Amino acid sequence: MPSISAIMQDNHRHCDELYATVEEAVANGDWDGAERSWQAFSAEFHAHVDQREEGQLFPALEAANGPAGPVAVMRSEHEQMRALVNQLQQSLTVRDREEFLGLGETLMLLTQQHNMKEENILYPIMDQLIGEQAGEL
Amino acid sequence: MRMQGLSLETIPPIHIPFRFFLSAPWMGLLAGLALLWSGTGAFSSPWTPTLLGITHLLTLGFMAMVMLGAMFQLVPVISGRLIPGGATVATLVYSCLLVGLLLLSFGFFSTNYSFFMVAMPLLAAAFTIFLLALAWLMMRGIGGGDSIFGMRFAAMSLLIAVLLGLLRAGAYAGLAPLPGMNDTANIHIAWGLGGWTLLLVMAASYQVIPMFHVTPSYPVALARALPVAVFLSLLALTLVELPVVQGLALACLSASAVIYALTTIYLLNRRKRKIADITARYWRLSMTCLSLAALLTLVTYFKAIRSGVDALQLQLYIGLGILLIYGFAISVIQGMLQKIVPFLCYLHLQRRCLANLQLLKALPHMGNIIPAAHSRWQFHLHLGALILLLAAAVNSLFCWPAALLMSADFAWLAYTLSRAVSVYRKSMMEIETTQSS
Repeated sequence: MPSISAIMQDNHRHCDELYATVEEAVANGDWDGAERSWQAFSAEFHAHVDQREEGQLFPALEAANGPAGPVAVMRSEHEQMRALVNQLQQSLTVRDREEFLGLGETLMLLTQQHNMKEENILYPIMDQLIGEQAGEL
Repeated sequence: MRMQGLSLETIPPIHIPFRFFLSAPWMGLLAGLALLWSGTGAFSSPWTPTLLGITHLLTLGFMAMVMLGAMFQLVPVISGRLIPGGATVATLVYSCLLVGLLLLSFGFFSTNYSFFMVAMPLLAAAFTIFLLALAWLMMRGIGGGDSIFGMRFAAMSLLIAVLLGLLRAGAYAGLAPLPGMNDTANIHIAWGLGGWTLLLVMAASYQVIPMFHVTPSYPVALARALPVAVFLSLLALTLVELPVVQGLALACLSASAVIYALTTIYLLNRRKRKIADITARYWRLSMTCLSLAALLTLVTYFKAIRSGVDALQLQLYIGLGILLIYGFAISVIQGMLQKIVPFLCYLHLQRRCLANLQLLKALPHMGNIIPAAHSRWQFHLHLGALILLLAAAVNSLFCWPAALLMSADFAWLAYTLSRAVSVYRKSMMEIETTQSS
């Protein structure tokens, strides 16, 4: 069975790829294509952050007496990412290319440094303490 | 992994990396102006004092300045632990490096090597303090995977490069007889560029290439084997004088560099993020220069064995230096700054809005902090300067235009980074005004 690290890391990459599709469509001025790809990205983003992490893994880690500080930081970063995702949604609605690409680059880097912490530090801790949760992901 | 002392909120205050990033372009500009002032004379031999002064303004003043600043930022994010000593350590490292490198370069320009007597302890202090702080962190069983693995080799290479540099500076200052040019100088250059710079770029790329450009990861076995191969080749070059071993070690070093560069270009070609991205272009330029430099290293080495050191050989050395310093290292550093600086501005602004998430909407995004058009200008200035510098290595007529464009390259970088900071300051003041009202 794949570990939590492996599953969640794959999930990060998958979200990156979905976002890259939206970005490319916006850069090319294909707004209808961008809208469709956005739905897929947005659904996967929320499934990852709201359900898998905040809904399942974080509470499980806290119940297993995992480190509380890092989880709180991750929750706060999720909040910031959601705010950017909302802003992106708005710039998509008004079809503002420069605004979307500038915000998108910002979300991308914010997400990447967040992922780096989860993948290097938090997921390995989860593998140790709540490895059995991988089956339910 | 130990969980004690582990924090995921480990971003150092913005002034720690930014003092390094903002000073670096001015050192590059000084190098450009020095080249302008020296005219065609600087490129007559790789070992003219003027060219040595210019080279150290670029390697210590621009490259090491940004690389140390970036490590103060990146290592905590990758490892989850802050570099000990905080602002005090950063201030000491920064001040000693800045004053030390300026005195070193001035010593070269004036050929008054008594300046080295002050430059040497300052530079020794800068790197010793930095490496001790880093070693303290790395002893603590941190995570970080392939990147931290590579950084350990980079740090050891830096130590060796600095020691050899001090040895040579001491000889210039008259503390010891000057050893033959080729031995310690070449080994110093090999550890500084082939060791510290190449290994740190490798370690950073393992993290940033897949993440920022959404490419496949570097193959794990290769990611581990390359730094080891580079480090062992450098050790063999340094310790074994047998010509066969020297030739083999150099071949292994060059092959590792080419394999790394081609892998990086291959990964970038397969990136999922297909939109035009100036940092990706900088990476391609950098990796192309690295491959060419690796091949040129072998050509110059075997040519020297066959026909000795002639005028052409000296020109090849200068061309090799330009490819490695301006083409490989400075390209990738400029490319990374185009992303890191606006991102850090945004990140720190965002932190100030946590109490009032409504404020997030008014924040400047990365495209407002360094506009894409400014980054494109930067790339074209840099590419132009690189081409003219290479032309100047062949024909000294190109020295002046090369020096002009090189100065423009760094002046533009200084402008865009200062502009980014003023956008940051303005936005920070607005947040504070809103929060206090």
